[in-house]
Amino acid sequence: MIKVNKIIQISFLGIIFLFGCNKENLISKRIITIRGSDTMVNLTQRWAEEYMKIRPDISIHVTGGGSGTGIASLLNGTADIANISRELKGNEIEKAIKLGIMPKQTSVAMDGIALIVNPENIIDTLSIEDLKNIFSGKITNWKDFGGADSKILLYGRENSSGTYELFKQVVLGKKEGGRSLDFTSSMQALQGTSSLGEAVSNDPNGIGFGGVGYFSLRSDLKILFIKNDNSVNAYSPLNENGVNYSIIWNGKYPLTRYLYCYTNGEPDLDVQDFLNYIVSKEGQDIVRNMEYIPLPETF
Amino acid sequence: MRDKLIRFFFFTNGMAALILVLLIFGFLLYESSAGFSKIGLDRYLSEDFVSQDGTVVTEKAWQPTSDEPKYSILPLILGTFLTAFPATIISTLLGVCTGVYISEIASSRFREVLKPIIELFAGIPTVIIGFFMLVAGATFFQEIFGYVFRLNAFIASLGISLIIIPVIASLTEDALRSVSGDIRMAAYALGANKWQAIRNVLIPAAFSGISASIILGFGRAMGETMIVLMASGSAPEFTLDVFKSVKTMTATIAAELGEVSQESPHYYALFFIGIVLFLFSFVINLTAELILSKKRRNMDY
Repeated sequence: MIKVNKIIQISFLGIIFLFGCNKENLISKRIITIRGSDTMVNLTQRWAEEYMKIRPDISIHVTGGGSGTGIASLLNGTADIANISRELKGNEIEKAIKLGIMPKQTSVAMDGIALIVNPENIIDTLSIEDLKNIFSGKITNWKDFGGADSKILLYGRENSSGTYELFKQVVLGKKEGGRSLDFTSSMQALQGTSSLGEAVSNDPNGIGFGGVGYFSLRSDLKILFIKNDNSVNAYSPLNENGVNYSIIWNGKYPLTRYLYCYTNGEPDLDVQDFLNYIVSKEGQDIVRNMEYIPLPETF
Repeated sequence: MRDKLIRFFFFTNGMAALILVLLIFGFLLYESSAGFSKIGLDRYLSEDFVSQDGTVVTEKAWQPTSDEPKYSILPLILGTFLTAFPATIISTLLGVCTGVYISEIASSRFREVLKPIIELFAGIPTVIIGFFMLVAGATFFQEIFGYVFRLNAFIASLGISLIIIPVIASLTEDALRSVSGDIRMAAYALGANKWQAIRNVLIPAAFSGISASIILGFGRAMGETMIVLMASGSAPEFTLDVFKSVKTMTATIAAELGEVSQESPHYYALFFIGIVLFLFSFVINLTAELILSKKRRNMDY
């Protein structure tokens, strides 16, 4: 009995000792904390993983919580980098300056949305205004756009997803009659972009949206051409080779946005080195592989 | 000494379950408490918005991440009932009949085979059923019924029925088995045929057990998450139409809690949904338990 007790005691001490060692190692590392946009969490996680392979002396902690959380942690100094999927608003910058913080913006990637319909649908082109009417529930029949006389069925993503947020920002963004528009509640929320593609490919009356990279290889879906309200030509985010980066980079395709990393003033050397890595060729290759859109190539 | 130890072991295990339930409820209350002050109970029902031209619009919508967040959980409660009620009705019809068949009509050898097979059904992972309804079931029934929304409350309730039918069938069978042999023999001695004995004697005698099985099945249907997440279409619409897409309370928590930013009103609202769901299933299980314990008392005579 006594023997067993001793073994337990010793192994217990051993475990505590091992935990202690582990902590010692962590303390000697430089920790970079990144918080913010949920759209950017996976991408930032990939950058961090690859970067930590090059710089084993640095440990990068990435958490999400939304762009709002990112702004909050930038203001109270709990994060070295805030991931924000839109530009800071005027009042947010004022608030930061009052607190003695100088937000510095670094563009790190782009994000875009493609609109998909079933190949049976005869409609090829819609404008941003049309999309607004469709997704806010004002127009509910395809014949209003010259299509078949049938109800429009809307497929979208969960309200926590980044594409949901971007779509709402670009398409439904403007206020109308003193109230901000929102998606009609009959829009079906799907769990991922692939199940969304599946749903639209099974539904001749469906329309859905998702990240541009996802649909480039699918023949059972039709990608719509999207027209800016003030322009004549409509553009598709894809061409025969996949994503049509130049159309997105020159701003002709409207449903895109930049993703930013914000820091307080000039970041220290370690953080700056990480940001340099992100915008380097390796960093932007990761962006491409993760089906986001890399930054415009400047030659 | 050993006796005491064993007793202590079972006592702690028994209490652990009770304490865990209380802790979970306490945790839900604690996490959602901030939501009561930040959101307010009335906003969980509906909210009035004033447009620029002065008209007041009452919105019953679940749009927690909107620029004008709306936290009405009424569409979600409706969604839960729109999937759970049809599922319970379908499973009651099929489950009670199956239970009667196994208990009263099937030969004893066939019963030995049939009962385990039906109980095996309850063991199918719900994600498999959800996937099946999403990929195959939805299209198949769309061709029969011709409804507009491919994924809807009806499809989800069909999926749920698959897991409740075994629950109801098996509990119905148990209830019928527990009807004493004397009553059964008396019915046959009076010249009743099988149908008359089942309809006029056995089902009334086992009625409380059967109704408890239906109520428990309903509770299971309300708590079902994976099938509704995959097959109900997840549109939080305020509707009473079973052929429309709905979003249930369980699916909302499952889909949104993983991504919500902590300590936002949306986060507290999700915990509030958890409390509502907890209370619903508590009442349902309590009712079933009361019916069953009443039945047990009656049988003591």
